[in-house]
Amino acid sequence: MSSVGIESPATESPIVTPAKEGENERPPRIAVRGLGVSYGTQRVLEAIDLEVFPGEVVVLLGRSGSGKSTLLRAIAGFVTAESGSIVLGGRDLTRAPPHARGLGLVVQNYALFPHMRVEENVAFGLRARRRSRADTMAAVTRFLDLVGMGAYRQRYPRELSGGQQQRVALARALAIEPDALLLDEPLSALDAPLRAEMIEELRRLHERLPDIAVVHVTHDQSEAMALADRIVLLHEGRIVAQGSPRALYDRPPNARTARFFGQANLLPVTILQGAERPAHTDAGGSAWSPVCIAGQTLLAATTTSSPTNGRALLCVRASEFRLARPSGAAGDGSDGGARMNVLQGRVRSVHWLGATQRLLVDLGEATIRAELPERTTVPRPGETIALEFAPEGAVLLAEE
Amino acid sequence: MRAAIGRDHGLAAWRSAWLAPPVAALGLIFAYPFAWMVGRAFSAPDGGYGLAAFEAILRSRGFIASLLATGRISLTATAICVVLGVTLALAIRFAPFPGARVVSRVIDAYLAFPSFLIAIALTFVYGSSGFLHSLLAGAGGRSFLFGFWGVVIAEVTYYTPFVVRPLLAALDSLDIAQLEAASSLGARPIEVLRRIVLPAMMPSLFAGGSLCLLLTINEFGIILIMGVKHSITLPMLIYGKAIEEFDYPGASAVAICNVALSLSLYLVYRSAMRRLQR
Amino acid sequence: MNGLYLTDRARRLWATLALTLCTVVFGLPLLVLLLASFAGHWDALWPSSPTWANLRGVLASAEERAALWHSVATAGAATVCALVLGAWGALAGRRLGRRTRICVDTLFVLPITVPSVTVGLALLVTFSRPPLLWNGTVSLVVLTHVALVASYAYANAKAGLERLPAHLEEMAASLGGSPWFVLRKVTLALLMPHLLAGAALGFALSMGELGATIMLYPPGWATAPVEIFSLSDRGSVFSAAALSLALLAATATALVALERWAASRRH
Repeated sequence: MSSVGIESPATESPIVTPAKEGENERPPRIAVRGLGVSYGTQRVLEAIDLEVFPGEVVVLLGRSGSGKSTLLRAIAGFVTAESGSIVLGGRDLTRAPPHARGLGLVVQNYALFPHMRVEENVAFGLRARRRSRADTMAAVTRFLDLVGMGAYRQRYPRELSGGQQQRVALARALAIEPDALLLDEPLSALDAPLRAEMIEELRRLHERLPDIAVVHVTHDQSEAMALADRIVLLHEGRIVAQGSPRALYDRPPNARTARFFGQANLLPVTILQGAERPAHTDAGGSAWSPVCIAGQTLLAATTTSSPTNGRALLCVRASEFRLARPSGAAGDGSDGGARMNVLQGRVRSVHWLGATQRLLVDLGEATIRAELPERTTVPRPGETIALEFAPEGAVLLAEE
Repeated sequence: MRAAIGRDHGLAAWRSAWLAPPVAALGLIFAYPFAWMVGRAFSAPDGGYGLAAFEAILRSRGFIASLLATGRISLTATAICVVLGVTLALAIRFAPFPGARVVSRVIDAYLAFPSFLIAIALTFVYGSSGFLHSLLAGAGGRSFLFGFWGVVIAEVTYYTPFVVRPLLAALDSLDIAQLEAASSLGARPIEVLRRIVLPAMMPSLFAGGSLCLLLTINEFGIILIMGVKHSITLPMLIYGKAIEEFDYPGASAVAICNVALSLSLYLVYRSAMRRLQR
Repeated sequence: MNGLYLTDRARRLWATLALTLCTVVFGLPLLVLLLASFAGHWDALWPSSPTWANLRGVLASAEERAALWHSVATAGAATVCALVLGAWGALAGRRLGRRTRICVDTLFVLPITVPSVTVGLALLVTFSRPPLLWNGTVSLVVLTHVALVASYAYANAKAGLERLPAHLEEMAASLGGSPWFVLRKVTLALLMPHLLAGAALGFALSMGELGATIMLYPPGWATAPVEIFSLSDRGSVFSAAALSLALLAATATALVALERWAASRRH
């Protein structure tokens, strides 16, 4: 639970989850420090710090306009850094032109050269480097085979499907054996089944090229979850959170992050002070804090960034809720230590969604959204319901 | 925003330095002579500057007459071009006739022809040894077509494609669903044409028409070949003054009036085009 | 199918009208030109005494042969220069500020906006006196054509650059291509069809240019259009028609050759 960075990089350096044990000690392939970028008078990136290590897949995640693509383009050299530095493979290349950076880039629309055959596309970077013809052809064969496009080397890009073009674009970027691979929304132009297939393909590729560092930009959280060793969440030109997908999902450091991942309820609660029920730490090292909403007392997990008193937000995912057992059976604390939170409210609506059913439950002060398994028998709208959830599934966050 | 993203390798000044060679070349062979010609028109006989050349041409009856002739010819030709262009564009698009494709290819090819070829050809159609002449000779029609109307017909032939092309582009980008919606709401074809198709064509028609007017005002080859004595247009007047009378200041003054006219029409055309692109 | 549901009768009527108009307006002049080139006389409704003499005359006459050659040489040289000038201007101008771009656009488009006679007059007046005494030289004719043709080359290059698929040049740079490498292998390679289209149009217009050329051609360098005018002015209308046809044929041949050359370079 410790691998969670928080909003202000000035006070606390981002904590990095290494892809593999011990790789932390190797120097980063990409080190961005204090990067600021403006378009005219508009500030689009502010004090960005980012390190990417060999073998690591970092996903830059954010909505459109969050600055994620600009960050990638700044690393690639297409956008001028106004402040800060960009160090690639130990060399400061902040002011270097794109062609001197040695990074492999793949973009959303593939940007294959339409006047060149597949093999000429893949050979482009090597020809620009004046590699010998034999070397070039060997590399072309190797990388086209790697992405499974060996049979298409004589085709023109317009004769390929979207997924095939994507593979060629990958081969072309890999052929220059870059220090790092930059992927700018590489899957956004593909339809859903093909996208799922390409995600698998990218994972396999990462396994076969264990040393390469990858920066992958996307707005799709499931794509990020599936691919990332570390997710960096951007909002309005700043890093809002970073950490492993699991960490960001289970223990979001702030409300914005919580909202970005999955169906989160953010309930306004009051933290109960020590006099009533003290905050305590259990054997596993997790900290808990009692909170109150609509007159009902709950226990919430806290993180280093959780507030300690006053108003706060309780983040509970819709899938955390279960139908509570009848009140007589649930003895307080007599249940072998698995203490459950229980919330009572009035059912407002029930929607059947196939595998699950979605309930809107009115608490008076707030409405919660719960997703229950399809077979659960639930009360009808207007009736009272009791929902339970584990304290581990509820994280206390600061108000925005 | 795009400009701000531009590459930062070298300063903006360095980037504009690349512009220097072509601009200098074109400056030498076009801008500099043009500026010199303007200076020439405003030069006074005593070596200073003045409006003497302009006064002289404004007083001469030839200038006013040629201004009127230019206006008469180009306005008439443009009006006919517009009517003919609309008819042809609509027919090619909505009532495709056999060979309509060939016609649109021929129309494209016309844009690359020299205009005087039309004049040469029409010499045989309408001229004193042409077949229309022999048709009309019996009716006492001396080659009336060789005068004002001859020039107009030649210009219509040559410049109608300049109207048809943008109209075809506009019709191609017309949303057919709109027309079908109008029909299904009960509009007869003539109403669909009037209330939907024509409004959609208007900007292109305006652009094509103003281009046509601009080009007919500037037209030289047709009038030179047809040798119309009483239809001296501005370009013909410039040619006459410079080549036959060696009156360079006078020719320059007429040229400046002609250029002013052309440029103002060009600005109208540009604004029409800009509205089209929006 | 085209959204306008005319009755068959209306459609036929309209089509007939359009076809007739097209034939009379566009077809007739070309047909007449063709017939006249092979006609001995044209006094009645139809030309009479068909003959090769007109065309043979054109090819036999040293003057007319020279005129054709002058046209081809002038147009060829002017097109090459204009292509370099226009493409360079369009490439250098595109990353600059809006105001600079408008100035460059204006400079390139002005020569074909004003009457060609005034372009000829301006060059005649300017280069008839020191420091640049170019009047009476062949180069001045070529330079005049360069100014006129550059407009088309520039406009086509600019349109081509605007249509360049997004990010291709950036991609080429990030793959390690130096600016010069990217310009050659990507930008110019993709621009080539547009440049060739501009060259073809410019060449055809230069072959038929009359207004500016007639103001300043030196003796001994009359181009085909100038020669056609003087033939027609002297009343040799059939020779004029034949030379016109030869001019068209020369233009078409040159353009086909250009097309062939471009196709052969592609493969």
